[in-house]
Amino acid sequence: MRWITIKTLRAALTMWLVVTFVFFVLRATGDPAAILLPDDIDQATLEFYREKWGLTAPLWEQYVSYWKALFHGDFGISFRNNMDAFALVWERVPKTALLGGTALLIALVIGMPLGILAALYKDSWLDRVIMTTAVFGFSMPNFFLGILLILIFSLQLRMLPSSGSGTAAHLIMPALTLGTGFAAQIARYTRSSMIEVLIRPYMRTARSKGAGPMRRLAQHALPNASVPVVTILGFKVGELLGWAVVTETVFAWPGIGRLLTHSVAVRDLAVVQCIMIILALTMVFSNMIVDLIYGWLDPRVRVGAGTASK
Amino acid sequence: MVKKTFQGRPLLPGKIEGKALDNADPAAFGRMIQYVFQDPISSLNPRKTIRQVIEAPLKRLYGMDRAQRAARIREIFAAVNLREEFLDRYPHEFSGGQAQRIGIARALAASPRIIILDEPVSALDVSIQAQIVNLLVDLQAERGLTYVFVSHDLGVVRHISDRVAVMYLGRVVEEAPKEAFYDGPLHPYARALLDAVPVPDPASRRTQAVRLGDPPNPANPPSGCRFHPRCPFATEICRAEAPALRDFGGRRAACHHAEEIS
Repeated sequence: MRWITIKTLRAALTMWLVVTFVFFVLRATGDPAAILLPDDIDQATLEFYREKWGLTAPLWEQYVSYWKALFHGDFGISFRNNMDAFALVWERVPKTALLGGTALLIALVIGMPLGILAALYKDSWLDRVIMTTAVFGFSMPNFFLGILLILIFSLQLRMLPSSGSGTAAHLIMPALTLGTGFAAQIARYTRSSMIEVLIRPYMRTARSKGAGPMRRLAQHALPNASVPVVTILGFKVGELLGWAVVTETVFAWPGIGRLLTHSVAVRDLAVVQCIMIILALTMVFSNMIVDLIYGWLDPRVRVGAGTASK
Repeated sequence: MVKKTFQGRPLLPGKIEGKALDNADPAAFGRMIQYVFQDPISSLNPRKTIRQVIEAPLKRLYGMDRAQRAARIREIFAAVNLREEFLDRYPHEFSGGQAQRIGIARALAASPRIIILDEPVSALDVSIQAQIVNLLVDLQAERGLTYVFVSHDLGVVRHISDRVAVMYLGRVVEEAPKEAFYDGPLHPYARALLDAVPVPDPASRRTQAVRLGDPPNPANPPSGCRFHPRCPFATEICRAEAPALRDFGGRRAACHHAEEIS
């Protein structure tokens, strides 16, 4: 399978670039030992920790040994609490996955139907209301919506907890914050994709065959309109993770986003690198999954599809 | 759409073979009238196999079970000269001629009384056009179908039609039996059309076709007879009064000067 080989090589290249970039940028922005340790520490202790964390060797040597360790599955240890960096990050992954997954679900459940409605009633007041709301939805900064929700539902109405995780009630506001902007984008993509499909000749054919409106929508319009939406969805998973960092910080949601901001602030190199690798892997995999779904959705790009003899 | 073809007068006065045509129910409509479209490939849903495309009307309009559908599809595929191995392929895997056979098979599957063919061969190669037109002629004879065949190609029209209607800017200007029409149309526009048909014979030196200039904007048609700005026979009455479709013994034309011209 040539297709698989190319995809894998491209993914490997992406991963190498991410690891290298993060490695050098983090080290270019300051000495971790100086930042992490108290200011009034003596020179000997500073040197001791530099030695312990492997910061004394030349940069390229550090780079090579980092890669060697990576191939042994060793992501290094957190400078902060001497825990295995990977274990520290892995423990947070389910939280972020729960938040991101819920937000994605909210986005699809709200965004797709609204987009379809707007397309079906194009240029009507309904279309305009939906699209105006959508513009508002994705123009509003994520953290602002989060703070607004906290003000209303936690401080004023005292209905929902403002921070932390644990119960379903804790999930509602962060998931909404993360999901609504995304829903607005999906509504827009769905609308434009539907509008394009609705004027296709095969829609006219479906009508001439005697198919009713619901059947034309479900059997002919939606499956075809979903192709570009799914493609976008794959790219958006990465964006969603970026937004998750902000949302987790606002709601003190103990996921990898909050761990990331914290670790960058204190130059916890091993943890930051580990998170970046996991995020990059997620991106690479979600794009691969999209490619696979794409082939399933659209027979024209199906790998190895035969062509009819002329 | 069909009903308004003849200048507001229904071609089918709301009835087909004595039964009222139900516009509101797409399924009832689909059992009576089916369409074949100009662009055969893009008229098929790219995400459905040919089997799904053809089975849908059998299932939805007639409630056939699996065995009945298979039998019906076999019969129709044989009728339009398609192999059954095509059934599980997708529209993009076919050539234009094959796809148009599939389009015809799809229309036939619903067992309609009338098939509206909207430029069904104009997107196809000339060699394929002939195959499709001959297929249509055969199917019509075998199944007693009524065709409404929309085309710009007067050669194809001559081959396939019993009666010919010429439209100009959305109105029928002449309607006649095929032989009478091709022997000599009554309306000046219909004449100009026939004169403009190219004759593939370099030795043929016939009179130069009348040059008519550009057609007017259909959204804002001219007063009176819509053809008058381009008509060599136009007089005062043509500018003022829209001609009615008048009877000329088995044929009809909408021209104030039809008697003098013919």
